Amino acid sequence: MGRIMNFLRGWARVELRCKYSERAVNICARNHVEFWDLRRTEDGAAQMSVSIPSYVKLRRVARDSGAFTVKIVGRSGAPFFLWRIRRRYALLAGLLLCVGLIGLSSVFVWQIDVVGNKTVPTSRILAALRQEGVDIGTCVLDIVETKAANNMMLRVPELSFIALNNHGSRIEVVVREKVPVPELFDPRKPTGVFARKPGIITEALALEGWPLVEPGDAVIAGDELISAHVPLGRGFATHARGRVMARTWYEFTLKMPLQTERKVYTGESRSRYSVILGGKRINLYFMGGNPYASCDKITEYDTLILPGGAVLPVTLVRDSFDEYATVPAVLDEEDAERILSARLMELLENEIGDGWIVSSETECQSGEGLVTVTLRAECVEEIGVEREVTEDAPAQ
Amino acid sequence: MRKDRAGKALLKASEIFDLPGEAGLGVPRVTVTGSHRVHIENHRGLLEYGPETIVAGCAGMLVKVRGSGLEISAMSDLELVVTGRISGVELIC
Repeated sequence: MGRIMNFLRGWARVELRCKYSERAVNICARNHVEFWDLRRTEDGAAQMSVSIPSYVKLRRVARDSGAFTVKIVGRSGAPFFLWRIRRRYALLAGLLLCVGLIGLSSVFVWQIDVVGNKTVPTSRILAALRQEGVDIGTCVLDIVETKAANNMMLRVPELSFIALNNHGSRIEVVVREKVPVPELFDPRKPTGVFARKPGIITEALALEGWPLVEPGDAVIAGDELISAHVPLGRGFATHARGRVMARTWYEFTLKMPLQTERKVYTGESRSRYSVILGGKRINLYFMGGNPYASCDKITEYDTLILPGGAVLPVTLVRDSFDEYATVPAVLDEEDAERILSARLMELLENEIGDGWIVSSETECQSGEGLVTVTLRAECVEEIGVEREVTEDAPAQ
Repeated sequence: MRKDRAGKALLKASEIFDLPGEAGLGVPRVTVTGSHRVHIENHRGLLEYGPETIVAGCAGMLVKVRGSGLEISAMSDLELVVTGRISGVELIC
């Protein structure tokens, strides 16, 4: 960093001639002349590097003290470089253009970092920001952080706090999510327990309310299992809850054709490249669309990252197209049955939730190029579901 | 002689009160970083310098830095930074 600053400020290599060069060096130090890289030459003179302001001071000190003489033996840095190229107009214009572009690029957003989100996806926050006019390539001067943050709270109601911190070309979006309010149990709200599917009751345990069923009863979906109205004394309404287990039966059927198609890659492939520069995609090809009638398209994004971890707003995009042809294929009957049975079992497990399977059987039929698998199962599961009831509902 | 005595008294007082001598008394402070850098604070001027020896005057002593390829990286009226391959730092009282 020091070298860069010295280059920008410009520096000169000077030679101090004195009978005792130590004395010249001490005079410089005492008069606050900043210098570095002091060496003694073979003929006893002192050579040192000084900045341009220090050189001016050094000349004054040398003149006032009369103890030593100063001679420039070299100079370097941006001011001297610019002075050298002052007549090379094209080079100067290019340099000025480059500096101007770097300066101009610093007023645009090149990177947006979202921190603090756990359940709300970053893509959703970025999409909402985009609607607020904050996106990669947006001019930083156009962004009103407080207004954008306030509107973002309306756009993403799951957030409890959002702040947009502007770090030059990088916008840091700090968010905090709302903690969801837990569902409160209200004991005074009349609520009954109803059957959500038909079955034969195996267990009915009423923790609150009046049980209306007992083991062995058959129920259909919608039947009231535990009543909210308790007919004791003058009767009162309560929030019924409990556990009602029942035997349930399922039958699922799935079909699969034995004649299928299979992908065979022809070996033909093509790639296209494009560059995303500050959110704008620049295609490095002329013809759009898929190059083959049937092909797989794989897109790879490669964002340029500096060794320090800074992300540049330049992303290389590679679209690869691999051509394939479809050839007919015949599926083995046993394989088809195995695939269908696994899918049926998955369906059943999703249906019964925390319940368990008591018994199950599968039946496979084939014909007309189709394999049909039927799963029949008996299960035990919780079928009660709480539902609010109105005051005038019958207590049975 | 009088000044010398006053300086010694101040040094003694700073030792009693556990105060750092380099803060107000002009006592030199020499910091050696590895074998490539020596930082001398509160120096009184350069007495000798060369690629193998650099001698700086300090209050009541000399600080002699020995080594090879020595150079003065930075110098002000109070501080001095010597870099190079340092083989020894000697205090000459």
